[in-house]
Amino acid sequence: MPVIFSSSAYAMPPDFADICTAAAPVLADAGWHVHIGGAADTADVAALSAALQQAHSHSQDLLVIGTGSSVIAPDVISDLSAMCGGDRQLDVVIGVADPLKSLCHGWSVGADLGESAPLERVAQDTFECPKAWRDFTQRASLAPLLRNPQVRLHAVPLAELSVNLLDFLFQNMLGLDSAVTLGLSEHRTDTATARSDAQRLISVMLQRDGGLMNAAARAVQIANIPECELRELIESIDEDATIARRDLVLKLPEAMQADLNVLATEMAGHWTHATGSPPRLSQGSIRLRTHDIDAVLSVGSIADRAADIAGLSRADTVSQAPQHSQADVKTASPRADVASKVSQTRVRRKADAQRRTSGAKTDTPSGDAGPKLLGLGHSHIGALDLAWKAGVGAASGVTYRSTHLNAQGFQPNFIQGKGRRQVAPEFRNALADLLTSEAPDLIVALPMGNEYNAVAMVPVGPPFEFFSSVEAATPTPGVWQVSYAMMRAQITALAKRNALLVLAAIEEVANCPVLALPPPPPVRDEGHIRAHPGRFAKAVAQSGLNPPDLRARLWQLYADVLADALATTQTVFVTLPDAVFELHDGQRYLAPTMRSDDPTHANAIYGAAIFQAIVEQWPVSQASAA
Amino acid sequence: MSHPHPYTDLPDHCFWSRVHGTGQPLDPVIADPSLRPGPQLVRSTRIVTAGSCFAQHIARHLRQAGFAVLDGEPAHPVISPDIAARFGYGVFSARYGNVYTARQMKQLIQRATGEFTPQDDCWSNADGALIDPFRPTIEPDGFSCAADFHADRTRHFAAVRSVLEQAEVLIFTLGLTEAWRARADGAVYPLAPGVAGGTFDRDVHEFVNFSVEETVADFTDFLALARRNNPDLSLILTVSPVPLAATARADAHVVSATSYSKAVLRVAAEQLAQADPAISYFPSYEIITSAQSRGRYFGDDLRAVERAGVRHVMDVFARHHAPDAAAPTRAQTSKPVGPAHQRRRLQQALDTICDEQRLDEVAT
Repeated sequence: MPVIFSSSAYAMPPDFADICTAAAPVLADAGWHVHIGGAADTADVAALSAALQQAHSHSQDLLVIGTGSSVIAPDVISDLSAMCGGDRQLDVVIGVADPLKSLCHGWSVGADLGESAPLERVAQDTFECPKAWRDFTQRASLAPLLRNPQVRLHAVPLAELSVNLLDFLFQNMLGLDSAVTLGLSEHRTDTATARSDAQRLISVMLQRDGGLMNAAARAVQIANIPECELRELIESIDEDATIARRDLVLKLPEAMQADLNVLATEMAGHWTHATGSPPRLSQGSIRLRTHDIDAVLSVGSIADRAADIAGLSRADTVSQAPQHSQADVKTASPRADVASKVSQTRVRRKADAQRRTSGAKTDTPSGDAGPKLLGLGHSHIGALDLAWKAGVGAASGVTYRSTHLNAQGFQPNFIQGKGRRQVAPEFRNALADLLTSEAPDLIVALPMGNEYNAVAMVPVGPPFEFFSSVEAATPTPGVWQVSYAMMRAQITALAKRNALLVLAAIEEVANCPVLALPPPPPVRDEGHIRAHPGRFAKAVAQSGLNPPDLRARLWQLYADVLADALATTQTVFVTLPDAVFELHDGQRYLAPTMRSDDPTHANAIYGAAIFQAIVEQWPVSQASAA
Repeated sequence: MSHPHPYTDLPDHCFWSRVHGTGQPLDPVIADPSLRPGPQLVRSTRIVTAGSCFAQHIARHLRQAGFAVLDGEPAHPVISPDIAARFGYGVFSARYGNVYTARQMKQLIQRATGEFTPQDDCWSNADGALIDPFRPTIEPDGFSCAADFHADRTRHFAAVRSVLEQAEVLIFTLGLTEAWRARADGAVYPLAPGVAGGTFDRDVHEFVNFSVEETVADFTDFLALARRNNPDLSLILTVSPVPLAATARADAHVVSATSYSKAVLRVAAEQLAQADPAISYFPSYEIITSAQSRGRYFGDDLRAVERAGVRHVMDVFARHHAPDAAAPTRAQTSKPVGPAHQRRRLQQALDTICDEQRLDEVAT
């Protein structure tokens, strides 16, 4: 009996989990054992390994559907390789952000070496599990799977999993015509809906992501991509930071799709050459698929949509091509109060930075390079990373890098000293070293951020509620009233021993302005959280979830605490833009399109909105001028 | 040949020279002025504590020793203990804060049972937050809204009724005789209006310095009210050794005012204990303030009681009232303390909340 394991990533389109969940009962009826996994993390990988072992012990065929590091983590690869023997055929489907890039750089290198090699590109694109990042990039490789004739490996772009997952399953695995014929997902699997969803996604991306700075100019940029070989196209994208790899998935002309097969053949040839075996492309050793909705998301349609947004005809946009982005970015509306506050410290800090790093800094941006943004934080900073990798911000003229503070080099973050928790000296030193080497013009900090969920996510004790002084609230009978002041004190205490500690450390060693972000607002949909409980799985299973409005109130309180605490520091608190919220009964939640398959984390679309907020609240293009 | 006289056959503890001739005046076994037996507490005895800030020490030590000090008004479990303590939870058996006078205790039970409703319902601070005039420090920043305020007070009154009905033994520490009250209805405030909320108005508020008779009468009334639903309630009375932070009497030195106030409370306690076999007096006041301690139980401000003094009190208390408690031996009392222990000491000292200190804060 086959096993389907769905292990999704932060970058998954919002309806991916829903599709998997909808598919599960039908697939189960067809004799498949379905395991819907949660977000990719260590526990997820462990669960996947367990599922593999179970399948192996029962001599089951196997289909793994997943994305990112959870599927191609070393342990999983090892398990898969181990069970590839005899007559068993394994169909392994992985989703990566950029399969072309992965194939070009990761798999071919691994195949050439004939052994495990870093899949850095895959790792960076899939971008989960930052904790295990270094181990992962050093050891993970799909080469063992490629080498095994019993494995049919399917690589698909992340976005495709959403709209075509079921068709792929039913057509290619089950031999059925399509998911639609079974009425499996009447709202999502029909072509029209998929197309509509995709167009909506594109609109969002153009407005908040791809079109962040200058939609018209971006459309021109896309339209001007010349006809070229696929490999050249990839290289040109690398060279031109204003085009994102995501664009490649979305805009690839149909005429170029033939090149994919050429590339796939070459890739297979690389591998088979290394092993001395003939290409097995006909058996599907590598199946590389482009996005099926390319037809409607062609260059032309994107440009037209961009023109609509910009209020121009396409011809107009083309004629304005040379003037795109930089000038527009520099006129992005900075918020006077924030900019003023930061600018007061910026000159001093820049001067300090120059004194401190004089003669030592070798990577100072050249005159042509844009301001350097450095993201610092823990898991929530991943949303910005995803957005950046999707191309957001490229047109703004800035450069962005991030460092995850839960990485090995920054552990431990805290120690218990002098009777209280404090930042570890080693952490502070590592932070200082990082900032010296990176020499950012602006730091975007999003440390910790989940601490409020210690009281927000699952019920602890009897039901309770709290009201602020501005609320004309009526207590709910039978519900414990916790005073606002005490709840605020509780949240403040949590913040002080977590995010605010890290933020203080960052400010202490920073030589540039620091922006601080609150974590994403809570997910309102309890079904989503229950489907993707992540680290809260055990607690949710045992205790359930707090009501959404309570979770929203506690998030707001936490954000207020951060804002108030930072008001007396040099760190600037960034107010989240309205676009990231879903309003319901007066409370603010994370917009459904911005969830990841996780109870608390947001996705690339959210990250794109945050980038926009940063640009609006802080004149990034002018940061390096100080 | 000596002639017999009234002191001839008295035991050693009746003689100053014999008590203080040991050379070890701080030894808790020797410096034990508690002689009369009182209620015997076992770990299952339902204990309620109330009173001035010194009573906080008693409550905390008994809890730490594993005694069943009732907590009828715990904080919601989502709140961590340290935060809860800042908001007056877990300090006493209910969240009434410090109860300094017998009149305040009497009015507390009257308010909890609906027999007295002060006209002064609540105060607003500058931020619009609401302050409970009768426990003004439990919410450091005040209640954010009327809903919070009333819901909490309703729960508080229920907790007061509950613990007083359940209690087997009430340990009460008399703290002050000086108080401020509303001219209109006599409602007594734990702190003067304006100190931790509210606005002082001489036309509305007046000073009162309760006499022995008033203190005895108030406490007798309180006890009668409490025993309506709990006739077997026993009491251990103590007098706080902590001096007045300030006196409202312009004609009196704070030292004299303290002496007077403590004397009144001590006499009242004695009279109450003599009159009711269910009331026992425990001499924490004497242990801390008597000459045998040589003033070493007071801190540098000559007001705060040092931990050694509290421990002495609790050692004697345990020996007489709570033999189940692990009374420290002499070796333990002289054992050097490590950094962790010192840190806990400091923390415990800081955790003792004394509203009266706000008088100094306000004055300065």
